[in-house]
Amino acid sequence: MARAVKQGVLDAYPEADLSLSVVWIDILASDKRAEAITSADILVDPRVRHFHDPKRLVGRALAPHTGLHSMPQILERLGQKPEALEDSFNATYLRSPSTLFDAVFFYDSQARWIKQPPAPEEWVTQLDPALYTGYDAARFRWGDDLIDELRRLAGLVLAPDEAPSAAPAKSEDDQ
Amino acid sequence: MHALLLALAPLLGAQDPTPEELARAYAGERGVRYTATYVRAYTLARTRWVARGDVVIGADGTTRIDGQWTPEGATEPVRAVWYEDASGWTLVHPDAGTYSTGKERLAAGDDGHWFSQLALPAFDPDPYGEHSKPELGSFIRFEGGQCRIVSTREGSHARTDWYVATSDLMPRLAERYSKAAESETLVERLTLTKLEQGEASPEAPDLEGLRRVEVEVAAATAAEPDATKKHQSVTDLSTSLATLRAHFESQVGKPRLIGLFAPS
Repeated sequence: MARAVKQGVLDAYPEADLSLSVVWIDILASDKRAEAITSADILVDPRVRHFHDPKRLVGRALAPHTGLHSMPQILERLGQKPEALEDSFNATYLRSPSTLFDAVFFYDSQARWIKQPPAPEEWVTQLDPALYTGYDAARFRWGDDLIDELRRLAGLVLAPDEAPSAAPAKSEDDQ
Repeated sequence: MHALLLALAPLLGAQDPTPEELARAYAGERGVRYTATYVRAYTLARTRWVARGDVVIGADGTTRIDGQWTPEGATEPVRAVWYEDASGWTLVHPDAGTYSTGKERLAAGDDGHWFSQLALPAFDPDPYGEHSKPELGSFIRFEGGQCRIVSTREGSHARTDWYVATSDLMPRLAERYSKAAESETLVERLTLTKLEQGEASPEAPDLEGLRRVEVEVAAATAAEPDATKKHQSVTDLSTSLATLRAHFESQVGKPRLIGLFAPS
């Protein structure tokens, strides 16, 4: 998804005076700080600042703005035990409250973070609604549609009056 | 703190305060002033890091701290005034006759760091952190009043004991123990005395006769990622969201995006 952000936001608006905070959040079993440092090289731009969130604090703080279900809820629906997924996912994440990742939040220039992170003006996610539930599935994009949506939403907060309207999300069969 | 007090409400029991009462008790809701002493020490090391200050936090979050700290290896304390409002911070060094300003607290280096300890939120357990439910401890007399000890845990690596006054549900002491290494513990102790709640209104420092310095501005610039380096600077968020929040706030006036990605 980081590469999509590069194409849909940074490359699409090279002169825009915006600020992008990239939070590398440990979700998969292989996610570590070293991986975050390596992946940060995908987004090299003076407008970008990188963070590493090993305890998923940001993901939990932003999740309430989306309605995303927690992994225990999702696993229960799927009839899965967390132990079965520990080879793939961070073991703590599998047992944690709702935690957002693979998503981008967009804020206008006046948004303030006083005590809790503010609600975004817009957001988009790559989390597949077939697995991740609870959030508005219309926020889901994939592939080129994701790049297009990132470009549109960035345009919306950069120049709210000039942004094109949203294209409907395609079904997975269309991907 | 608000979240902590709400969490503690059922435990403190005897007073049975409503959430609204607890919200008003929070410093940010009504304003508060206190004298703070912060001590940081490692169990195996001889060095101690101490800062003291008179703290005023207004109802709007505007903060002023008149304080001092002694840098490691120094014999004389450094005096300074920290003032922060919605537009940014001002750091005044009266001994040197200088001041500096900025938008991001971190740009103030060590001075900004110890001021953040005195302003209590550094001890505020993050409601999104990996804390267990607060554990109710014993009653204890502290600084002339009765407190209830309430412990919160951050996973298995840290514990904070809060001494919460039964009179106003405000903390008087917070002791945090965290694992610094295999056999070493970091102890942080923040003591609040002369605590007053009310319509505290911090005064902006008088900058007349002081010289503005750009040291902190340079530090802020240096902290920005260098696009020419092979690897980007990646800031750790393992203990709190404070750094991300400070960066977000420092960029007010620009559209901002937050992206969350798994690194693998």
